[in-house]
Amino acid sequence: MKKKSSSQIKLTLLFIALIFLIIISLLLGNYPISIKELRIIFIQFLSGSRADLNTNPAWSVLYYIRLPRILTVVLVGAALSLSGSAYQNIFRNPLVSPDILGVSAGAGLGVALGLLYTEGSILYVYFSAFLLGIVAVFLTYFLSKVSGRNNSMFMVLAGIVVASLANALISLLKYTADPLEKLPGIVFYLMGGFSRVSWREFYLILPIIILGGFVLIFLRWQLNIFSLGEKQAASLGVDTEKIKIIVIIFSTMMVSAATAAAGQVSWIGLVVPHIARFIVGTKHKFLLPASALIGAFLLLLMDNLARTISGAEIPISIITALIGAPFFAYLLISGRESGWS
Amino acid sequence: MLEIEKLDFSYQKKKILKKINFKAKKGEFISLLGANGSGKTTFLHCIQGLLPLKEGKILIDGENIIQLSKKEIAQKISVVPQENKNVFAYEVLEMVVMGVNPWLAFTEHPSPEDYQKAEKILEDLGVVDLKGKNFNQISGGERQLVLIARALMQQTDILLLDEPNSHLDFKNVHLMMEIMRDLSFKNKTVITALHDPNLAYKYSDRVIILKEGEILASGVVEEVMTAANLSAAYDLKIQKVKPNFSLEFRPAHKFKKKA
Repeated sequence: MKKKSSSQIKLTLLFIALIFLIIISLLLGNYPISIKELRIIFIQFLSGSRADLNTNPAWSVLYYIRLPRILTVVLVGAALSLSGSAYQNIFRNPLVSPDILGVSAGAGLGVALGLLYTEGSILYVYFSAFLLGIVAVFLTYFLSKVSGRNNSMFMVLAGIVVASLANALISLLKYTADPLEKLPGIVFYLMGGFSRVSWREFYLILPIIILGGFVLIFLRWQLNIFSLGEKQAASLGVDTEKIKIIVIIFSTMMVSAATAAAGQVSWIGLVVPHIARFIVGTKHKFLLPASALIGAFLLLLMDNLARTISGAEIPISIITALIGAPFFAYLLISGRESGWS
Repeated sequence: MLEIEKLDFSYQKKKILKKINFKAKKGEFISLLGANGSGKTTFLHCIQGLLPLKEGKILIDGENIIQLSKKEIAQKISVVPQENKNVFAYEVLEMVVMGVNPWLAFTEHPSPEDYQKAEKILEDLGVVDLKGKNFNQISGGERQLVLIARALMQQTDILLLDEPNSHLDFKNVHLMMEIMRDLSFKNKTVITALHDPNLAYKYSDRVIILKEGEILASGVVEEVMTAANLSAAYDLKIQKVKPNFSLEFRPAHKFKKKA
């Protein structure tokens, strides 16, 4: 019981840290806004004096540019980390993540196809991202199953095969795309970034990510048992096939929505679940909310770096890889003797 | 209570189990013997309903296993796997409480009473001091006891064990066998695959000897465990040595439960 309350305290602290970072992020950027200005705008907003707000340029920057971007980053970070935790658990493999299972590349291919063949209509882009994300993850699963070697390492290898195939097809699409009109859009989109994000993107991914997160948290007890492996879970009465399909579909939905909004953002889905396990342990009741909060926090931190470190914005995937890869190496080397607990 | 009629199972056109007929009564301690690849594990997987049957029937309390859901099977049969570390480790008490799952509705989670019950089971097995420890960081013998505790939490009449002794030292092997025998005294049906015929001889009521997927011999220990049957099962000339002329190391007394 003691441990339970300590995990709850940790979750509360993570939540406060995220709120704190969101407030700081609102102040950062090319147009400087002080905490005092932010406070005034907040008071004006609460008192409903729209006229005052509309004449304030800081309000426009905050409301139309920074806030939707920050909230979208929070959603994407949470979605990638939640699905990373769920995938690692379902496949009983601490090395899998949306990028390694081929989902990100598949969804990326969907984005490229959507941009190329649907006149860039955002709904089509999202839909094809989801469709190809699902196809990719099932292809990975099928490949590892059909080989008869349904083990963790083979699943990673199958994911690499599927991701390579999807990336090759993306390259082919880029090669055939109109170099002036379509190509820059595809390249920029897939490199990952939040600079084009507006309220529209936020509202498009919000219901998908809330629904996916809700489903995973609803299944937290079954996920605990599932991490013992399918045979043990089945002998404990878990309908393993049903749980697996539900978790894969909703996790993939979240990753596809994230990829459609922000392009391919690597490493977050792999590294964050490990940090979360380190902080709150393996019980999904705490692990899932902790993953969501830490993922949101770290991606927001990285996005702040991406938009403030130099005059021109750096694609987010470069930052996530620069920080995520060495951090993961540290996790590997630091001798987690007790497995990945 | 457990009846198996003409059970056949094939994998990739290879027959693994052939025409197995078998009945187990309440409170029996049955050992499965046979060389590697003789079908012991497949046999146990079939009883759990993990494998699709081509032919034959498995009945538990008169109900055909095919008509039961995974949850219903788990209410009747619990499984103690070979101890192994988990990829993601849980606390011991959490591992034990997972045994209550077959009795929970889809939306239900274990109650504080379930945790108390799990603690009581650990206490009865003499390992309650492990409850807050990381499952991956305790010894192999302790892990096996925790898995037994989880099976007891499942409150089933039948317990299946697949070579539970394979990673255990001398002391823990005999401790496990004693626990299994005690469970059979408490009216549970215990069916275990074993590597060591001597353990089966010393502890179990009945033995089934499998060879290439068929029952070579089945019955009470004294009748079935002959040198001829064992030689045939393991493809090795085996002789039965009278205890007076041989030397055997065994625990001098029953295990005392830890305080």
